Amino acid sequence: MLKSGDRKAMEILYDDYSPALYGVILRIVGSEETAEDVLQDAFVKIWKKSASYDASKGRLFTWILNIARNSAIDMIRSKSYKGSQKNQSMDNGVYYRETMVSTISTDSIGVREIVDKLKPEHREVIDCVYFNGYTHTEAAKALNIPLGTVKTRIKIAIRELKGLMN
Amino acid sequence: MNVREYIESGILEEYVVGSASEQERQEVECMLRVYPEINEELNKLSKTLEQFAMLHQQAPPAHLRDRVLAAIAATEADEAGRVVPMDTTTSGTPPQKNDYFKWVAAAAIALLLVTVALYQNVKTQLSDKSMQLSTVSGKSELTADQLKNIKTDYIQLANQVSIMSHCDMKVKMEAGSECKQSCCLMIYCDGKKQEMYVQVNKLKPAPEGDLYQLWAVVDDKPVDMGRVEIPNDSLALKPVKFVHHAQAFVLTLEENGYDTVIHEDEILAQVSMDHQGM
Repeated sequence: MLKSGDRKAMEILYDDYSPALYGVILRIVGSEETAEDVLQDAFVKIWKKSASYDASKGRLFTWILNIARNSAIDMIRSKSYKGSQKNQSMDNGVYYRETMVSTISTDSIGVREIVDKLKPEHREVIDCVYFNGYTHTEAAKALNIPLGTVKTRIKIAIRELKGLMN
Repeated sequence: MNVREYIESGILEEYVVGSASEQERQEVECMLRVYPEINEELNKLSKTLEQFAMLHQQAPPAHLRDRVLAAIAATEADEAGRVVPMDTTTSGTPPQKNDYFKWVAAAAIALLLVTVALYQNVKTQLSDKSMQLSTVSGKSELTADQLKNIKTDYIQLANQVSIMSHCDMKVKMEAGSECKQSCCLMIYCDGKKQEMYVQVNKLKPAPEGDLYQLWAVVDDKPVDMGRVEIPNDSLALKPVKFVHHAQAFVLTLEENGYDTVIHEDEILAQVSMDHQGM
């Protein structure tokens, strides 16, 4: 469907997936105005890249989700965005929003229920890598824990999540 | 390699959450093609993160739908507006666009038919190529060069497909991240024609002065099968020396040039034929 580059397909895609993508983008960028721009940017990218989607490498929704997530992460890591958030930059130059770790910005009860069941150290590691796009090294610095611990916590966090979702 | 251990290592979790390094990502993508269990596990983890994302869903403002669709339409118009001049100097009559499309369509259909006839490994690899084809055919302009490349690719691919479909033995060799370096190689054997081919799916360029050498073990003795080079095209099949009754295949990184014996410390990957069925 997507491969044909059909614009009708993009409408269907928008109707089906925009709430999920918008929610995740908003969770990452934190402002509705920016989230709207990022969502538009993400859909244009999906449209442009649709011919290169390879079903053998993964699920369609995961692919779309990652494009949206990466667009949002690129945005919070861009110079112009960082410039507007000067007060929150860290000593090591890695941008990190404390508020993201301790509070869940969305009002959705489902998220809260699920996320509350995760241990705080697992929740914060997911925040760092999934919502802030940190590499292991950056997450280790930001959370002030050893690299090996980051890896272990990611593994456990995703498994806990898997259990909670099923 | 132990698939269970690989899954337990946590690398798949890092892959889905996006924190894996570029090298780890490539490794996972190579592994999931080879091991269905890994593919299945990765699918489960992807679904988990999809569900996690769904929890965050929030309807975007209604006006955004038109804005996004307009932006997509604008991108499309922008691309259609770009015109690439055709090369008309080589022939007396200007080439007809329709002819090009006929060619591309014929190639695409032929490719599709071939794809269906193949077994899974080949199928996966072919999809990359056919994707390129459909990308190109989707654009309204095609240069003579592009067409030539498609033809060359297609002929090459058809040859590879023919070799793969005639082969009566297929062996994969690989080493995971716990080894010196990760690599992934396929050996194809056509017993009737007595031909063997190697396909390099994943291999780092050898350090300056070093080379990769492929060996077979026959009657407990090493048999040199030749040098392994990294091709430009990861699908390419390179002929290697045919070996009867191999007990094992070994890939070494030779630091002192071409060798006649296998040194334990130079082994990158090895596969014993006891585990491969044939």
